[in-house]
Amino acid sequence: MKNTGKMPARARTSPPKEDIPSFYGGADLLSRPAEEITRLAKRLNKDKAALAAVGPGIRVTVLSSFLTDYLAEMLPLMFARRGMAATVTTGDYGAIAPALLEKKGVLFADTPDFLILLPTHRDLAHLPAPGCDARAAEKAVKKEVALWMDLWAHLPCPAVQLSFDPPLLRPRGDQDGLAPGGLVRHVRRVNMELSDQAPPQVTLLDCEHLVQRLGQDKWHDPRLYHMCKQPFSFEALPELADSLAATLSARAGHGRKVLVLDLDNTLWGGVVGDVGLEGLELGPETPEGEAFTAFQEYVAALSQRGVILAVCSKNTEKMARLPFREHSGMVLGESDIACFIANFEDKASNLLAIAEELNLGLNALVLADDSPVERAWVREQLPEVLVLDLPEEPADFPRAIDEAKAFPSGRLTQEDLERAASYQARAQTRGAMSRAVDMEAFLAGLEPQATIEPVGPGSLDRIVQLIAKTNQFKLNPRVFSTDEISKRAEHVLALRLRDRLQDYGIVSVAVLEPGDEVLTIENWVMSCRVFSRRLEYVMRHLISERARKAGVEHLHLVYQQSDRNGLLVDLLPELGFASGGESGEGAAWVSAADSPDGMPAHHMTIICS
Amino acid sequence: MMLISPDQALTILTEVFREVFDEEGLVLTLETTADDIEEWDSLNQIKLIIGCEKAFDIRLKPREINGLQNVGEMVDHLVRHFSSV
Repeated sequence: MKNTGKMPARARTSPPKEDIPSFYGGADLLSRPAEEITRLAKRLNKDKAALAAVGPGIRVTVLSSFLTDYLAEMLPLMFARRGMAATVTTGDYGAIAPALLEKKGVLFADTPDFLILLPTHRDLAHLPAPGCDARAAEKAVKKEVALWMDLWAHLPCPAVQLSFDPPLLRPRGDQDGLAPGGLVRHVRRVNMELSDQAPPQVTLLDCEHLVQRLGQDKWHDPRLYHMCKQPFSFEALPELADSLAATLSARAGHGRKVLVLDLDNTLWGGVVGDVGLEGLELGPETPEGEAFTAFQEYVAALSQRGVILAVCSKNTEKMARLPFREHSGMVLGESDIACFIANFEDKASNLLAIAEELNLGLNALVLADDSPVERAWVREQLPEVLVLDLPEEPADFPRAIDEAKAFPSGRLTQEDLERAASYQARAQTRGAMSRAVDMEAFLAGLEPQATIEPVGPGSLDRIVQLIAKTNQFKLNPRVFSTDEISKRAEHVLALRLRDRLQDYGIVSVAVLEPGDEVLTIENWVMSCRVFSRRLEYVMRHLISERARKAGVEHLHLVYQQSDRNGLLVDLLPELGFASGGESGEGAAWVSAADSPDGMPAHHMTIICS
Repeated sequence: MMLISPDQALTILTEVFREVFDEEGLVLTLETTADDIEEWDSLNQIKLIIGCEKAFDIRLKPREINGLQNVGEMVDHLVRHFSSV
C-alpha cells in the first residue's frame, strides 16, 4: 500500500511530472499533448525497475504494414496503466504475411504472448470494380476475408487486430460508403465479415470508431506517411496505443470488472438525506433528472454485458436504499447491485470491503463519484483503483466512462453475460471493515479553512436556507426567518469551508442564545456535503469560546429525533453532551462549556472574516 | 512581416530538442550536429521536424531540412524563412 509519509498531497494540484507511476491510474492522461505522453513513455521505458513493478509481464510483438517504432515506444505506458508490464517488439513493416508464413522465423522460435496486427486499407487485396453490382462487391469481400482466414490459421499465439481504416479519399464521391464498388463500403463490409468469422484467437479492434473519435485529420497524415511510413499523425498515437492496450488487457484477463457507484449527485441529482425522495432530480420531469436517468440506462447496459455493479455511499443504509425501492425514475434496482455499502466510513475502507466481498483485487475496481475530495482520497489511498473524473454535467457522465475504456471487452463469453447475475446472487451487505488508512494526513493535506462568516446581506439568505433545508445534521425542526437571524446576528455562528479543491460555501450554522447560567444552542445544522470533514468539532470549539465569553459554565440543547437525523445520537456524546431528560417535544442534552478531551483533530485553519 | 533573430531561433530550437530527447539540461550551439547527440537518429529526426513545425508554426520541406549540416544551418534556414514570408 502506498505510504503517504509525512508530506501528504499538500499543495499538489496536479501529479508531479517526474513521478511516472502516479500516471498509471490517471484518467486524464490521454487529454495531455502527445509530446508529453511520449516523454512519459520514454521515461518509463528507460526505468526497467519501475516498469517491472507495474504488474505481470507480457510479451507483445507488433506486425504491421507501416512504421510502428513510435507506437511501440508508447505502448508500454498504456499497458502499465492497465497493470501490465509489457515488453514490445516490432517486426519489419510491410511483413505481416511473411512473418506469419515463415515458420522458421523469429515469431515461431521465440513466440510472444500476444501479437498485435496492424494492416491498413492499403493492404486490401481484392478491391471491387467501380460500378460493380452488389453480388460482385460481396464476392470481393469474401476473397478478402478468405485471405485473412488463411493467415490466421498460422497464428502461433492470440492476436489483437486493428480492423481496416476507412480511406481518406472517396474517388466515387458520396456513394463511396454506400454503393457496391465503393471503397469505404468495401472496408465496412470486410470489417464486419472479419469480425463475424474471426477464430477465437483473434480479437478485432474497431478502427472505424477510432477514426471517428480522433477525426480524419488526426488519423490520416499523408505527409508523415510519405516522410516515414507512419500513416497517422503523432496526435493519434496515444489513443491508438491505449485502445490496443485496452483490448489486449481484456483479452489477457486484466480488464476491470466492477463499477462502484456513489449515489447522491452521481446516480441521482440531490442529496436524498436532505431533500427526500420527492426532492431528487431523477426522471423525465427536468433536464437534469433526465440526464441522471440516461446515466443509469448506460450503467444498466454495462451490467447486462457483464460489468458488476456496486454502491458505495455516505448515507444511512435505509436512506440509500429508499430511491431504489420507491422512486419511479430509477432504472437500476437493488437486485442489479452486487454489493451495497452505505455508511459514514471513509470510502477507501469501503472499497476494500467491496473488493473483499466480491473476492476480487482492487485493480478490478472503477469508481464513479462526483466528489473531488472522495476521488482524491481514494486515488491516494488505493492507487490500484481506477478513479474516473466525472465531469460537472450529469449528461456527460456516460461518455466519461465510455471514453476511459474502463471496461474493455474482447469477445463476450457466456461467462461475461452471466457474471453480473452470479455476483448479484451472492450479494450480501455487511459492515465495512475499517483499515488503518492515513485519514489524518489526508485531511491535513486538503488544507481546510473554516471561516466564520458575519451575518449580513451576503450570507443572510444562505443561513436561513441552510437551517430550513438541512435534514440529517439538525438538532430539531426549529427554523428562523431572516428577521430573526438578523436580530440574533451577534449569536449566530456561520461557517464556510474551503480547501485546496473547492469552496463549499457556508455549510454549518449554529444559533446560540446566551443566558445567565447556560448557553443554549437553539439549533445547529451542517450540510451533508461536508460530513466526515470534522467541521462539527470546529463548531464545538467555537461554541465553547462563546460560552466562556458569556461567562457561563454549561451548554444546553434540545435534540428531537426524526427519521433522518439519527446520526446525532452517536455524535452528541462525542461532543460532550449527555441526555438530561425529556423537555417538551424532544430530549434535552447538556454539556460542560469546554470541549471534551479526545475529540478528533480537525486540521483546520480558523479565520474570522 | 515577422522576423526572428538567430538567438530567438536557437532558444526555441533548444526547447524542441529538450522535449524530444527528454533532457532538461541539453545545450545547443550553432555547431551542434547529429553526431553530438547520441539519440539523434532518423526516428528522432522526424520528431524534431514535427516539433519545429509546431514550435514555429510553419511547414518545413523535408528536402530542405535533410541537407542541413548542423544546428547553425537550421537557424539560418529559420531566420531566412521568416524574413521571406
